Amino acid sequence: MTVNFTVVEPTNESGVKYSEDVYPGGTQGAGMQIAITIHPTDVSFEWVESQEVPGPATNITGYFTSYPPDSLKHVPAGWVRILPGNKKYDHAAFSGFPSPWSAGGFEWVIPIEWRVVGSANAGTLPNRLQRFSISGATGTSTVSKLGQSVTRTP
Amino acid sequence: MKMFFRATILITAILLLPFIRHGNACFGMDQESITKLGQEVLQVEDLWKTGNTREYYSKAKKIARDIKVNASKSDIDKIAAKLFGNLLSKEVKVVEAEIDDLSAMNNLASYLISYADATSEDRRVNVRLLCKYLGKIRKEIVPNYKPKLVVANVPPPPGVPGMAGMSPEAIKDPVARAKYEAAIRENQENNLMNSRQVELNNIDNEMSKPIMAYIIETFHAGDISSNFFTECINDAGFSAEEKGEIKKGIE
Repeated sequence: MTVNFTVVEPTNESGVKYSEDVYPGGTQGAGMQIAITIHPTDVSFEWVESQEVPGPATNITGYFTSYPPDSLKHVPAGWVRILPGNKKYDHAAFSGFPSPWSAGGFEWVIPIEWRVVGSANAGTLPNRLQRFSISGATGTSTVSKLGQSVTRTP
Repeated sequence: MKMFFRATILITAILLLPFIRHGNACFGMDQESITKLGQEVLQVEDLWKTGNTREYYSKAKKIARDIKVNASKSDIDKIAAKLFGNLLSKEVKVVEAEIDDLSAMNNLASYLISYADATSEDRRVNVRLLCKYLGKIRKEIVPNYKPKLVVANVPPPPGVPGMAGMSPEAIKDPVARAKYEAAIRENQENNLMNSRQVELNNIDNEMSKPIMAYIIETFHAGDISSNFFTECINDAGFSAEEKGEIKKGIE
């Protein structure tokens, strides 16, 4: 008897914002928690882990040009195991940048890697783009990722 | 001509002798490789003794994988049992072992169960190890475990200017930086805890029946006494239903 197994790899991700961060009045900041689903969902990736790959901040403009680029770089948490339902969680947030505010922003172009737990070989998923911006003197801030965003005024 | 064939067969047999142990031909690993594997099992303990625990588990996992790869080919039962026993005797710290200890022990358990030519004495040792293994796994399983929240990017402490997923080095205040580093560590530990609980449950689901079958088979072969049997099933933490199943199997 021959049994054929088809190997299905992760192909893409989608995100749903499930909560927004709260900051004290007058403090710059915007943040959200995102539930990420790894597709396709008709296979289980419970034996798979994935990670965001560290990288520099790019497209730095306006207000944020006064910061050393290294202070804006991305250092994510490393390999995180995919949970039942092909779920993972993320926190996209920035806060505490002092006034006087002015328009500006920067981006993280984030490569995504996945691998079977215990394996050294990694595959890739489409990059995630995370964008941080302040709209102007009001300090109104927006962070966006995986098609989700949150905007807040201090 | 007949003499020539007899001589050829004799020479071939002599050449094969080093590969034949306990009546089994070992075509996968030669004696030298088996000896080397045995030495590795002894040497890896030095890593533990010198406090290199992360390296210890990583190396033990590799050795266990080598043993499993050669499962159908070589008589390395005693070597597998030695490493298995050593791993079982260790108190595991999740951050040091990650899930390497579980992976190693699972490979060793699979090897011992599948190795059909173990001696009576070896089978007794194996039953004891397998029962301890199952008991250890079950003790670590958290009933109704709810996965802890793990995020891809950890936010800095409140009041610290920055982004979730920023570099700790970008925080100048040492107290705030230490707090942030602790939060990153906690996030990673939660990930390891989630990962271990998934793995522990998988092992329990996959290995409990084969271990029960191995116990029954060994008992039938007359290799274990009633007292020894009782001690082992208690070590394994079998449920009343499983104990009933084993008792039925040995009757």
